[in-house]
Amino acid sequence: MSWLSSQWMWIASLAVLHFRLSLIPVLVGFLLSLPLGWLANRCGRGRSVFLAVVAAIYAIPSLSLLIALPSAIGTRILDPLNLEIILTLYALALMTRTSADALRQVDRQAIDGAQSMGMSPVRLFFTVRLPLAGPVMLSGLRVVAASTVSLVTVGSLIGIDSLGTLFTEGYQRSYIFEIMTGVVLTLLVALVLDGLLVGIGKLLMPWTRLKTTHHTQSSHLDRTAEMEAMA
Amino acid sequence: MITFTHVSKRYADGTVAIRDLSLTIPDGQLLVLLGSSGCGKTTLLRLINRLVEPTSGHISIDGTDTSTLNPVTLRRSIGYVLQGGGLLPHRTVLDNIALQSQLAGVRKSQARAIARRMMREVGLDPQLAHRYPSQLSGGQRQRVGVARALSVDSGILLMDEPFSALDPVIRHDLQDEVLRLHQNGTGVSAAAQDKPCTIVFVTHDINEALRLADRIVLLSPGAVIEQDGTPDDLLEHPANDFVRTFIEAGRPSPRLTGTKEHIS
Amino acid sequence: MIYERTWSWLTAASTWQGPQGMGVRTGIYLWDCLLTLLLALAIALPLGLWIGHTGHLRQVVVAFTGGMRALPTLGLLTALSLWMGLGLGAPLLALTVLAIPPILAGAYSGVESVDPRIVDACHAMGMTGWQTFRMAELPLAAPLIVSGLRSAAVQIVATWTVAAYLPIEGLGRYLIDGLAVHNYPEMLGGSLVIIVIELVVDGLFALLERAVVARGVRLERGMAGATSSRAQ
Repeated sequence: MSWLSSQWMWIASLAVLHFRLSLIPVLVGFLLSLPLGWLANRCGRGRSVFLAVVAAIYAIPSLSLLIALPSAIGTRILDPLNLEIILTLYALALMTRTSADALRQVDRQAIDGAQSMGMSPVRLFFTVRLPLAGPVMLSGLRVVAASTVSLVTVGSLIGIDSLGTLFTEGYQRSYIFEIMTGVVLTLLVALVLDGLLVGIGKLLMPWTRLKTTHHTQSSHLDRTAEMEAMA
Repeated sequence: MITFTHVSKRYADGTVAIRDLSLTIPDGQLLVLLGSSGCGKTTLLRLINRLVEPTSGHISIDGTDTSTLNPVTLRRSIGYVLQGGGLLPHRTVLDNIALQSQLAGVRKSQARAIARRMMREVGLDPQLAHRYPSQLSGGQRQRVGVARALSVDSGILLMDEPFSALDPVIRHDLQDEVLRLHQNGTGVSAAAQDKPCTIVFVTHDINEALRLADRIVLLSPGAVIEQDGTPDDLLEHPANDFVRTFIEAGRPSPRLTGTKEHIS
Repeated sequence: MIYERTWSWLTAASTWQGPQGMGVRTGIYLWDCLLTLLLALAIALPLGLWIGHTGHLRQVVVAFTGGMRALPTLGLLTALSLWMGLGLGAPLLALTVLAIPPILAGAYSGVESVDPRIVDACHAMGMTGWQTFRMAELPLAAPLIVSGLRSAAVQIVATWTVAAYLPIEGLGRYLIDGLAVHNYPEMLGGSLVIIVIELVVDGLFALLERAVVARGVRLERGMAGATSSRAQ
């Protein structure tokens, strides 16, 4: 306990660092998944192959990638940028299929309606397709966020600081309390990020607030289960 | 003979689908349960083969209370046709039909022979036997569903809005098929085929009801019987305003069948 | 230059031979992975299928699998290892626990994804619950079940690398040991071998996933694909 009271400043700074390390890949991965998802839907028959190739990135073990990437792009191995790039790639690998599916499942009637009003394709994308695909994308993004927060900790094995540092240090000192503190705080960071995403979702998509019924709730759960299985 | 005695059904969420209903369906009758969606007609149908259990009251078939029977055995002895056919997508047409006999304990080779006979019975091209449901048209799929239900020997056929999703021409053909099957009887054995079978047919389409029925039971929500009679009874002596409105809403109105200019 | 050194390390006979060579380590690694997958499968598959078939416990399990995603592997590994001591026990338990959610999710969402009208038709024909499960739900759920297995397998292969930190024998040793002495060719070589294994495992499961789609369903999907691409 004296460890906690003497080290809380450091622990708090690790938590903030962890949050920052998680946030950037989730956001960048999401933004990049939009053009990729759109592109996949334009591929016709090649769609499933395209999506499978992007998803295969996720299959590469993070520790191996952390070691292999610096030599490929010329960064130093301890540079947190490596971790950011890798986690972005993972987020992209998980999110592209969701974005592609979400954009495709948008009600044709809504699109026909917009087109018949004479909307340009670009405007159509941003005012109709994207907002209507939003709820599905959000539930996908929440899965991505949770897995990213957990993956950040692997960086501590090669010396990139995050809450994962509590695991390696706690292990070396045989201090299980330090590890448990790390686990709890990691879950807390995931919870905060999840809450943030849900909050932003409600702000940007006010119409989903009106019908937070059993139906939308269960569709989020379904999406989560599906991604859980497909990830 | 199928008998409902003071049957009520209240679902877990509190909806009352059926309120104290009694009804007798004699052997060989083609009875149509007619009503708009939510009136309890499908619940009524599903009570017969115990896909739904009554909250109170009894249903009996030929004098035997169905609650004393094993529900699985009971269902195997009653043909049931659903909208879209309810076919297994990973089995061929022939195997889908044969499955019903196999459930009753018939060996596979014999079940397939029966299935082929049933395919002829409902006018399906034998060449379709090894196709999968996804390779068939909606009408063909529905015929497979009927063929499957026909391989049951009890002489009772339950049909739950089987043709609602089909286009008018195909629906018309299939209705003819139902009328013919009703006359010829269903089932595998010669005995079952000699006499007309009992058909309970659920629909919301007044025209379909008028075309098929020996007897129509028109229901309002809560499965309240508004009128029980022949098609002619309904058309000529509607029992009340509900019946009158229901018939008028569903029948082609002379004013609207006029020329285009007339409407606009 | 680093690539040349890595290549010569990878192709050197000494790298592959001996009790701590690549050959033995790959064998141990694959064996550990297989054991973990089978353990997780034995627990999660029956449970997932049961949840999918009956709908019981669904909400609990959904919340559980969602929360598990954020549980850091390394934290679980190190904590269990301190608690249970050295040896295979701790990593095996940790990785099994982490592999359960994807298998569970694949199994229950697979069974749930079966069109309820088909299940209803099965009941109406007079199938027992078991027959409905065996003849309709299981074959139609198979692709999603395998897809859950696939992500579990991919995750297990990736995480046994991390377990080398504990320390555990296996391919992960090259990464952890190489890091300790700054032997980059060894780290990179080990990483590449693991990446290849991972992609092979992923690919094999992808093939299996396609193979278990029933013929009638495949035809249906083909048609749906054709119509949707035409619609665009």
